[in-house]
Amino acid sequence: MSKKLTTIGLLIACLAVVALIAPAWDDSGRDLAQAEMCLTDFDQCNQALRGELLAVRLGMAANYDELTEAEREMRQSTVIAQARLGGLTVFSAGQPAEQQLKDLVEAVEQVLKMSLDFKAGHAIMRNSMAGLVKFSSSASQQGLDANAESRMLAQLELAGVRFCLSGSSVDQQQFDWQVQQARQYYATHQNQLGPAWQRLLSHAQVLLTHRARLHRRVDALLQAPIEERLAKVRTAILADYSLRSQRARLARVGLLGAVVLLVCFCAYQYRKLASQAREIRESNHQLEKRAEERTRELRKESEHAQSLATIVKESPIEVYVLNQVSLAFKEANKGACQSTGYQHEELLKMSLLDLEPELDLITAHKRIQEIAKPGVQKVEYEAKHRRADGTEYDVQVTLYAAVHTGTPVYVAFIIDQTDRNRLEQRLAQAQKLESIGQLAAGVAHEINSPMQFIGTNVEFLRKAVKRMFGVIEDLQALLSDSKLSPELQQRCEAMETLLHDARFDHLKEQTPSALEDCQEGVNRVVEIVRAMKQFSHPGTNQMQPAPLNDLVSGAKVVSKNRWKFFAQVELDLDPEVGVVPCFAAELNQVLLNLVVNAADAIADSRTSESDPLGTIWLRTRLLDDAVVIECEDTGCGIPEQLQNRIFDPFFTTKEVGKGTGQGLAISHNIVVNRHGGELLVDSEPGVGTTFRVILPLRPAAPVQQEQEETATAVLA
Amino acid sequence: MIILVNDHRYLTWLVLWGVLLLGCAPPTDLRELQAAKQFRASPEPAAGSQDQGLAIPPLQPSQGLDPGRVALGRSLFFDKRLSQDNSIACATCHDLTSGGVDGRKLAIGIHGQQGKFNTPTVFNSSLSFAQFWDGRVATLQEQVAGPVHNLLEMGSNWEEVLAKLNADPTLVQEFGRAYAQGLTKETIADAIATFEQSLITLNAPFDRYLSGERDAISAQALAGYHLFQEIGCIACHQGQAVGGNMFQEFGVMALPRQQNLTQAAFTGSVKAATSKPSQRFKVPGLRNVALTGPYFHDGSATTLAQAILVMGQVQLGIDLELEEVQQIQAFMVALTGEAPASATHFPRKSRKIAPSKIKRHSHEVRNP
Repeated sequence: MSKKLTTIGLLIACLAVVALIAPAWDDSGRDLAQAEMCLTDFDQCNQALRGELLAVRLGMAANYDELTEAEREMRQSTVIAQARLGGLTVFSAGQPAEQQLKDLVEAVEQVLKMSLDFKAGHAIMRNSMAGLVKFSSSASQQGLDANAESRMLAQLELAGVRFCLSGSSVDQQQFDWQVQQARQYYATHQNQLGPAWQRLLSHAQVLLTHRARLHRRVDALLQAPIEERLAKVRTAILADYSLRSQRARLARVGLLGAVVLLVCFCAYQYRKLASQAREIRESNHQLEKRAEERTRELRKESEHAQSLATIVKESPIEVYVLNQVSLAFKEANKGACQSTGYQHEELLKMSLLDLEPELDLITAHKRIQEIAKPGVQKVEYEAKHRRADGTEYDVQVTLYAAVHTGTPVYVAFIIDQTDRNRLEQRLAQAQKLESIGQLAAGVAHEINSPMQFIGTNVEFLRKAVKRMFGVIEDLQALLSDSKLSPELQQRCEAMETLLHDARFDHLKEQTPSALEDCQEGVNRVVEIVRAMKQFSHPGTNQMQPAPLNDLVSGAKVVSKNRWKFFAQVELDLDPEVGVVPCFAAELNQVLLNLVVNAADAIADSRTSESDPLGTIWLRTRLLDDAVVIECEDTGCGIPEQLQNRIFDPFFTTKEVGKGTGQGLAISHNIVVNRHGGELLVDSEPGVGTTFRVILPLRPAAPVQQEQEETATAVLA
Repeated sequence: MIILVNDHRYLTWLVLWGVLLLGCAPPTDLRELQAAKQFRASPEPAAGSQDQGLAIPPLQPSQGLDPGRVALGRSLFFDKRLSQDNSIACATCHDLTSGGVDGRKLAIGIHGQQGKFNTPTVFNSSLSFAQFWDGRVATLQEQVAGPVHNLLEMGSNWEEVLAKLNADPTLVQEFGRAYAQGLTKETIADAIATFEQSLITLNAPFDRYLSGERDAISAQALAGYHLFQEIGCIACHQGQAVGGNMFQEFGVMALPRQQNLTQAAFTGSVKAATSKPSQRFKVPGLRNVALTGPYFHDGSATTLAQAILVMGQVQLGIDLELEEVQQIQAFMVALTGEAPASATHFPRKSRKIAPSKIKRHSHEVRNP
């Protein structure tokens, strides 16, 4: 667009220059001036020549110098005029005016020639005229002195002078007649007349001859068509000039018109361009805005992408970019280096096959050929990869087809399955524990029934034994009377021996206590079974009021097996806590977890059997709108850097197979999500840990989230 | 246009352009025309106007000649390279020491060839209205080419001459100084013509007489002057050059004796200026005529007296008495002026043209 504008501008400039120069180009004016100068000069020369001719003719010129000079100037002026005017286009060959200039020059040449002739003739005439006068007087002296003779001579002289002056034919005839008279007279009286007569007659004859010629010449000179021809030439020049100036004017007008049109055009273009420019500016503005927005978006995206790229690059998941044919690595991330133990550069020289030694290319392609099928976006398979140090590990490979730097590639995401496998093991453990727990609950229920009649029977036995021993003692008291017959005495003594052998006293002493112990044991079994039953109660989907303190003491009972060798459990229950709405079964689990964890922590902190027992305090407190359950232990404590991870699922510090790593995660879920409460930890490594369960008394709507779901989500 | 009208800016532009164009337009030609008219309206004052009343006014010195060109012309005037065999210079025939002529009946050219005409004097030749006896060229510049090309005279041509002169670096340099065009045939001719224009013989006794010095000429010469006028010589021999401003027939009153020679001489060389092939000649100027014998175009009159007698008979129909002839001759001697400085101060080189050499030539011719 700017190029177009520049062109137009240049065009305008050119036209302007042309317009400026155009008058100078139009040389018709200068030509006219020159021609006019020439013609004026010529005209003046012509006039001067005529004037000089006239002067000579009238006898006013003393000599012919002036006339000759006039002739010379005339000739010069003609030459100049011929050269100057001949240079004009109007007189150039082929033009109608050409002949006019030629005619003029011809006329001038004629005039000049005639002028020369005139001079010669004039000189002769003058002399002959003088001779006529001179010899006329001489002749009269040399003549017969007759009257007629002198009259004749006088008439001859007079006629000659008259003819000389006028040159008219009448005078010529008169003079001619007189000359003939004189000649006849001379012929008759030749012997008597002197030589002056002969000279007179010859002069008269010369006069007759030359004067007539001179007259004709003067006439011709004066009638020379110089002025007419000059006028014609002038007219031709003027006509040409007017034509040319008209043309020039037309050209100028045309030029002006062209310039105006061009300016109009430019203006129009300018306007158009201006509006276009405005539109462009506007759209440009919009574009800029959009570009800005887009840039911002792009920046965001690029930041996003960069962060994504960084994430991908820094990701512990192995990410590879593979050549689609050779499966050679074109790119690998940091995770790949870390997982495989190879350097980045090394990896770039390797292929997928190097990671999986048993794999060959054909098998590999067979494995991933699925990806070529329409609708299949990725191929997943599991494999065993070998690290740089030769160790192998399980991986899950996910392959995508993608385009990387313009070439089709596969992108492989390889996830180390070691952790997952470990988690799966833990999950299996947890499930095993759970089924064992369910089995235990079933067993407990089964135990409960025999325990019922065992208890009843033990009670019966206790009473029966008590009565039986009372009967036996009564019988002994009956036999201890002395008045008894010896035989009887003897019998008594034998009986005494039997009793003694049977350690009856001991039996009488121990049996009730044994039975009591049995009773006690049965009671305890019943208690445990009851607690177990309570603990393994599947619970309900709605919170129900439960005696919190009972739950706490139940937890103590159920978990006794876990802590009785390392710790003692102190209960510090607030009797005002009373009944709290909760999911009792789940809360039981929380409490059990806390106690078990506390016991484990104490067990960990104990280095030998002889160390003093640790203590677990279980406290309940009633706050304004919440109930706090505290579980404090004197265990090893939790290192500070782990404190924020303890609620993560599957996080455990316990050895494999012992802990599921789910205890605190599940507890957290139960307390926070199910009850809308809080589970806080306050731990000092080496001193002990306090878990606080804060249960709101008016809990919000419980979160309907099952424990299983959480576990599944985590495992997925 | 609508746009233009609607928008003042474009209107302004248009007006601007219009003014610009119109400003360019005013015709310069009219002004030039006026200037041309004014130029011609002021005629130059005629030189020597105070002498206009005289049939024979005194000579006026030549004016406004470029001294460089005069010097250059003089050196060329004496330059034999203008001739084919480097034997003849202008000065060979136009001897500036003897009235500008060679003193022969007919001119001598290269290889001792005899020409067909008597050598006219080079002095005051610029005052002549035409050059050569037949007046076939009007100017001295045109005249120069004549002798150079005439096979009986220098027998050369411009190419030859230019080739020779161009070989002379000094001359070429001098021409470069005097003429913008440098050395060309035109500038050669112009230089020689300019030199010739300087050859005006001033201060003749008769001129001194005319300018008031009453005893500058003898009584006899004065009588001759009167007779010159009375019998009609002055009809043709008038003007500054005492002739040289017209043609005249040779033999107005009587036929000259050497008619045949004249006819032969004119064959093919008579210009249209003469209406018919006749004995029409340029009237020669009589300045320094006492030095320029023999006389007439064919050199047929050996002495001045003889020429005066022939002229009286042939042109005026008069048989002059011896006394009259002597008087006229005395008058004519009084027309002999002083050779100009440019003619007398010869360059060293030119002195080599010894009169003896010329005489030897003439001797050979005369005695074949």
